[in-house]
Amino acid sequence: MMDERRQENACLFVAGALSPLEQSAFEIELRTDVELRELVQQLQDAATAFALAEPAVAPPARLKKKILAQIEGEQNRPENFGLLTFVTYLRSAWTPWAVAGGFGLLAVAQFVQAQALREQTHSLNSAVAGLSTQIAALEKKDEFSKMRIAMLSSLLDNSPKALAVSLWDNDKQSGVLVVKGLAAAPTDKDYQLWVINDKYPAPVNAGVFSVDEQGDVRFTFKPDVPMTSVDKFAVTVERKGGVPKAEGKVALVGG
Amino acid sequence: MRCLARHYDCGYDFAQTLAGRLSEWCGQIFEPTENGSVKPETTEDEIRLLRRVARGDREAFTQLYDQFAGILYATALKILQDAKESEDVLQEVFLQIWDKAGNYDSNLGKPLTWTLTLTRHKAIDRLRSTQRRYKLVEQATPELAERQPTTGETFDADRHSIIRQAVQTLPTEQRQSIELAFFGGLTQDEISQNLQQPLGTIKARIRRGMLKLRDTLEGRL
Repeated sequence: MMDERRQENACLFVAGALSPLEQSAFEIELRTDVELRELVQQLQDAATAFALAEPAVAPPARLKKKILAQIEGEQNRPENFGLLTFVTYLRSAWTPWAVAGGFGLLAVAQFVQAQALREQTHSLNSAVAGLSTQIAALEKKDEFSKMRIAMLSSLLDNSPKALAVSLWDNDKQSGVLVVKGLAAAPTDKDYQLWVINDKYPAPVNAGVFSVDEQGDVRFTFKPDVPMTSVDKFAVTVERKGGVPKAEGKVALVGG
Repeated sequence: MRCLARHYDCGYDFAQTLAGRLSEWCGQIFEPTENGSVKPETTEDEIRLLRRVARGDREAFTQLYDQFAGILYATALKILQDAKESEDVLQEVFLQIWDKAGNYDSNLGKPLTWTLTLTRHKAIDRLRSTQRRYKLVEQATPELAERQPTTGETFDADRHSIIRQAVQTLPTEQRQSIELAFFGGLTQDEISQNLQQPLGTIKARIRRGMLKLRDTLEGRL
């Protein structure tokens, strides 16, 4: 028999009533819970009734023609753009300028990207005031540019304001999780970190940790298996020592 | 939001007839409709159709369009309340179906459910990006709260009406909470604020409503 919390979350998920954060947390649960997936599927089928209850409305006929023309265009494009066309294009007198322009655009794009990264870092620092010193230590250009930064928010009722930042270095296949203000786990439990990527069927274990009296911790982690990239991070409350597959309540999530 | 309120126009006196009608409905639900959408396919047929689309079969794509466009367009219209934007959404959805039909996994749901989810997400994203939803909700909420089903209205045997009635078996407050999420794109917190009800109440309404709908329609969709 499924517990009420999971059942309720499944209903909220299907109705579309979960916040993006809650939705991420629920999707993590879905990956490992067959029973929950079955329930979601049943509910999704039932939810189509809301749409089917509306009389169907025929869209304008021109829309169908437009869509068909568009997919027709997509199908034809690779055939029309052959090798010969490409070689001719390369030989054109404009090529050097085009290449130079391309580099210029690339430089601008990189500048904009770097600018965006700086802005992201700034807002992160303001949001997680206490973490700024530790993040600043990692802001050496070379190191920082390789890092993936993710902010995790709390889903726990007993520490709704807890925050965490995860810094992930894909080259080194390791990362650092910095947590602030997270209530201590029950004595028979540990917090367990998971890294998530769509290529893996289930969240990958990245170790267990506990927090100090202030609810803080700086935890260096290394996932159990090599990750080509990481989409999301999640922290769950699990049995002491950790579990091979996430099964506990999601405490922090973000990506 | 007038169209949300339309749900509340029909009577509740269908409850007695609904059980009998549901069995007929299974046979009727996928009959051709007046507005040109064709529904002769079973889920298995639809899955086969999607697989053909994944292989680049234009004829299959056209069939799929004829089959689903009416429902998907009506859903986008209901969410966006704007014909031009709904057309844009429908176009995006069908182009995505053409590009991503290979990603469809029949283990995770029926083709109609998949395409409806794509449509809802795109329409709600658009609604959120234009910041119009709060206005729509403001307009909808008083109507939703005030409109109560009346008795004695004509029972419409049309298949859509039957499904609508199945939806309407839900108590008003449950249906209202689900629709604000499903069509209005509101989260549970936002629904709680808009309806000025405790979050726990909203959660319970959505849970009870969704489970009841599942039980009512089990094996019939």
